[in-house]
Amino acid sequence: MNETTESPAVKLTGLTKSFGANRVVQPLDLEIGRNEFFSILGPSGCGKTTLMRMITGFESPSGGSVELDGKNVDGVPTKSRDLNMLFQSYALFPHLSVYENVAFELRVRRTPKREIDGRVREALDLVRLGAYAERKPAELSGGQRQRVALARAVVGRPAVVLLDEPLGALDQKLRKEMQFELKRMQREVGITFIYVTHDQEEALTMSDRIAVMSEGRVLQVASPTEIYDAPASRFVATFIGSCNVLDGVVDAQGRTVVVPGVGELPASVPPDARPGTGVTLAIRPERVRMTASGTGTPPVGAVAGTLVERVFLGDEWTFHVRLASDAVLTVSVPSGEEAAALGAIPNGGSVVLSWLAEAARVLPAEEVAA
Amino acid sequence: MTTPTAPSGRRRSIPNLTGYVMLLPAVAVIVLLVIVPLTVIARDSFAISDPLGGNLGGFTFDNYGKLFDPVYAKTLGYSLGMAALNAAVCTVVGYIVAYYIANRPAKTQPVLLVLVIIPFLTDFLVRTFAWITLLGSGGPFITLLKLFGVEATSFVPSQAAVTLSLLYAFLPVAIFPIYASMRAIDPSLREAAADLGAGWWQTHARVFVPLSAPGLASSVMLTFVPTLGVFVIPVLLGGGKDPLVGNLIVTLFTEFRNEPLGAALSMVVLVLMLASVAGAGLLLRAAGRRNARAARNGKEGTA
Repeated sequence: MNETTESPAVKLTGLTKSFGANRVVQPLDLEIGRNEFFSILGPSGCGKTTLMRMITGFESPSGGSVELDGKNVDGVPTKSRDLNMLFQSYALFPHLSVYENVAFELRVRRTPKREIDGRVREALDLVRLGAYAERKPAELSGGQRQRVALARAVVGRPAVVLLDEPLGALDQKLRKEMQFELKRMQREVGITFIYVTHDQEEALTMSDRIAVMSEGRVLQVASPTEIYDAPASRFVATFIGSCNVLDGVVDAQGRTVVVPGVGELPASVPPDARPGTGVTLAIRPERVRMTASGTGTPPVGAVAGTLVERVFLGDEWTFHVRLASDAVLTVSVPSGEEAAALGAIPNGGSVVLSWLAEAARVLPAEEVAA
Repeated sequence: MTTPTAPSGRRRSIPNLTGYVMLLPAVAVIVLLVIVPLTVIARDSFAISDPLGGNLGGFTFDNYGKLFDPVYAKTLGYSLGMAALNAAVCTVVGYIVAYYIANRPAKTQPVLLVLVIIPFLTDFLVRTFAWITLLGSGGPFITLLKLFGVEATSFVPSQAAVTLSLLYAFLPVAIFPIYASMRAIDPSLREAAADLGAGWWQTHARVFVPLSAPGLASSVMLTFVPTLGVFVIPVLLGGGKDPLVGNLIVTLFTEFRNEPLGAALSMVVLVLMLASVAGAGLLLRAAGRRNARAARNGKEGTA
């Protein structure tokens, strides 16, 4: 972070793309720093793949510009851009061995022969596939192919590697392993990674920063903790992790939020919020405290509800509680004595929910797209 | 798949019998139209000819001996050369066309393929005559040249007309197998190659040509072998000055009325065709083994 004087690895200015009348990427500005693990997160069709393809040069922008390392690369063909891509399908050359796949770029770029072997071995060791150099891609498992693709992407020491949903084709267990592996490799090689994914968990666990995209727009760019704890919009709040959202209005004093049918609820109302404005209240399930009603005095601002369902997930319990307004809130409690006691409450039992004011984020009310 | 309860033998033998019966037409066609004529030709190639065109039977190697005469050897060599040239040109042009078609949107590809096939629906002879009109005196080609001030009267008969028309006749045969292997190539490989710094030439040399090698090999075989047997094109467009081996066979049978000699030449061409197919097959296998060895050796196996 002390490299502020240097130009960012990637800088996008007013970048936009339309296919015919359909604007896939709205004009956006973005700066991605050196050695950063940067994720572009969004549901499928949000424009993230198109955005990435404009950075690689596979698509030409309809407007705006792309700068790599401070140099404008408009009109520069993909082959001359100092970046590599990890394809979703891996796109390994089926007729070449693992070794030759990794050596491809070095041979194409006429790297001195005595240098090639060392660098290929180094890249294969990085992805722990040194023993597989002679295999053909067809003789490898999905996870191994993915590692080959990664070795191939970093062997030329590009400034930036773009990864297009690289873990999509792997099974759950392998995916978790690869998340740590990718992060480790990124740290080891010191290359900027731009990671495109629709999986919020992958983005949260690996990234230095995340850009959340929806319908061609970047909604928020922030660190994983900030995205999670301080989402800027209802979309971000509900897309990243699970989140309870309630629509309400700021009360006359500008201190709490009134939810119709429920009443005043504690919330961290921003000081500039005007009384009477419609807002969305967002509360993470794990920040809600649940107690059986009638046990002790309920805390200030507590809400009464009816337990409608409980789900045991192993490491935690999830309770669904219906409020007087018919809204259903989700409460999650880590497994343990407390959860066990709460699990004993029968369905239909009365419970009391409470949370700290700072746990309830106040977000601008949003028209929910039909 | 036998069920233990089935009454043994009889019921199972019925489907077997129908199988053979259904094979019968195919077997009959092959025996009557391929094996019998080939046997007759093979037998005739060793027969003694009579100067008046008769076939005296008997057994002699004379017919094969006569083929060593420079006149025949020259035609044979020239035919092999033309066939090799045609196979090479067809395969190169076919590769370019196949690559173009395979990279069109999925909807346009069938249309383009049909356009390639359409000329095939016309008779071979008619198509060849069409070239006479196109390249001959007063044809569009000559008119065009005159516009640029080039003095020319007719391109027919000429060596160039033969070459061009051979390319035209065999190009579809080259396009299809190459297109088939081209279509099986993952399109993201092109982007991967570009991403790794490969330009147009490198992408083709390192990725698309090796991956479409089976199609390229079929294309070479499917154009080389039949070119050896062509006899209409050299007569109509080449004026018969440089006959191909196909013309020579026709001449031996019809004009010289020397059936045994024509049969012997036919056998030689047949053997040459088989040898070239076998040779190409061996080359491909050797290349496959070399690749495998290169892959095993990792660094050493690559240039």
